[in-house]
Amino acid sequence: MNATSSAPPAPQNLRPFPASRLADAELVQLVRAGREDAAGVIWDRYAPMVRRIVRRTLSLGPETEDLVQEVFLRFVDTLPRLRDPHALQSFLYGIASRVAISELRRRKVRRAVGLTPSGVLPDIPVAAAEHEAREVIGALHRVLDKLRPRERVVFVLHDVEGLEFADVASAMRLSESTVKRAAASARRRLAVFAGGEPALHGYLHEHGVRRIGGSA
Amino acid sequence: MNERDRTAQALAQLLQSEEPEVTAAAGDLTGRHLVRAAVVLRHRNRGRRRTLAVGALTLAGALFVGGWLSSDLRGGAVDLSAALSGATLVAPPDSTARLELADGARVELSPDSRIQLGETSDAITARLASGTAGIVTSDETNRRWDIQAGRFNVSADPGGKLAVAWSEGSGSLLVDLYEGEAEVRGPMEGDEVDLHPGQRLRVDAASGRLSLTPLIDAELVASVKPSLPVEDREAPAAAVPSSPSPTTNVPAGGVSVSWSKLVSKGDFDAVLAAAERRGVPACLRSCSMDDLYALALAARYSGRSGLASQGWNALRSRFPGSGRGAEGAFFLARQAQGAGRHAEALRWYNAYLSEAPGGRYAADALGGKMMATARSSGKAAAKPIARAYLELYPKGVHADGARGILGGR
Repeated sequence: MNATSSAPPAPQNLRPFPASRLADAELVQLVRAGREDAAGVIWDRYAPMVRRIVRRTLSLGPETEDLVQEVFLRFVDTLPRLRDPHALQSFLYGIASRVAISELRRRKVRRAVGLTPSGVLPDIPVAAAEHEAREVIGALHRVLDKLRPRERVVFVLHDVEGLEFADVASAMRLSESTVKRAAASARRRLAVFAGGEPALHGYLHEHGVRRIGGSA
Repeated sequence: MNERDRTAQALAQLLQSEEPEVTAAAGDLTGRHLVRAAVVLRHRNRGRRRTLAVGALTLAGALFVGGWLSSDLRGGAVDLSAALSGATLVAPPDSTARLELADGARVELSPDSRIQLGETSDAITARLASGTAGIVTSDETNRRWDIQAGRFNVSADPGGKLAVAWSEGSGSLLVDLYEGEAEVRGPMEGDEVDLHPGQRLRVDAASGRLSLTPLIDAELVASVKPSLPVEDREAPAAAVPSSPSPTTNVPAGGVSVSWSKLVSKGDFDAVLAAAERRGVPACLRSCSMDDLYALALAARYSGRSGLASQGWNALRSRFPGSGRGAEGAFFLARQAQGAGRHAEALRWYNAYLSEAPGGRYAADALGGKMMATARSSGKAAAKPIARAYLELYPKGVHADGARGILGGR
């Protein structure tokens, strides 16, 4: 028998490792190499996270998908600056937070000249159909709208998304102490503004808040 | 957990529970397609862009060697991607100079101002040697600006508009913020001030006096002019006075504003005036914890270190065990260290770190303790603290100092 008969199986029996299961760092390298399928996987993996941040930071609105896409277009554009490919998630958190802050500032200007954030009548869909739940959610967004852009993003990333301060600082390219101050300021202001929203009082009482709008 | 934290936590839970699983199928398909197309386009254009980048760098070298920059700054805008080579740029003596960077950021230098630009992956860096720079940062590339002026550092977010004036001779710094957020850090740990749009910060390094006031012309803020503040055009940094300008008063109509709020607005004089009306000794004895904290902060930021010290001490003796009381120890440490009383600073840093080991100034306190130990007992004594600092805060502001202590003899 010829020795060559025991050669390994032909390459056509091997399938490429599915891109959807590649690690973040590998996907980043593939996108850098121009592989658009890897970009699609990154979209599938992180678009829900980005969408969540955009919604929570900016309230729901028709412009949400535009902003999610803007985050990813900026991601493609700034990818060469991502030094550590393992830090993809943090990189996207950072871009999303900056897009959100820019949008909040734009809204502030529009509001100042009497326009709603998008320039049209607000249409905020909420999951709960009941009137009371709508009122509570509406009050929550009014309270959040009163925060400064940086405070709001820090609140969403730390208190809602559960990121550590160090991770928020890294994503937002701020010092940790600045992030901590913004978080403390956000909490202080949220407590005060919640005091001015009677629709929130019942909910807050149920969650153990004894002195609404109060100090420490 | 206090009431504020409980409120924030409840609101965070409400925001989480509100999250609807909206199917974004249409958006998903469009977005997915868009991002894939962007990658293809970018990859296709990469070769061309690389050629352009190399061209720009080559040109920068030529301009620097030929001394072309300072002469050509006169008048109109120039593409200064070249300036990021580290050359010192000097505005002509009789006119302002406008620079435009490749990412869309703009800089306007007053006559005779000197600035040096550089870049890192996260930031555009600028060293303002003298004069005034009006800066419009770009949010295209998401890079912040770190502007060094003497021993101060002004860090401005992307998409911001600000003016920075610095006089090396008098040690005076002025920062006007029109848009965006900025942070100013001084030479000592804890010397940091958050600036919000419409605020002006003045620091006189010699006297340690600092004032944070609203910009005088509110319309300036609304119009968001990228150019320099009018009153600083001709004589930028030299015009920075050592005393604070008049600040806002309590709003008309008898609406009382909390001292904490006045401090957060930078209206320190109003807090000090209110305390004096009430009687400072009486306030030290009977003011609420929040008011006392605000008074001590206002005194600190106004350069009245004696009153600040009284405030911190009163806070500690009247509210022992509180977070504010612990912070009093931190600020007393800062004050002692600033005055060169390192042994005293060490005692206060230790007090803060034992009372609030996870407090918001913990990193600064440990760094301060390390520096104070090095000064009072030598580097060898500071080495264990430096190791602890690097372990806890490897990217902290004192990390380089800690490495220096460990690397030194």
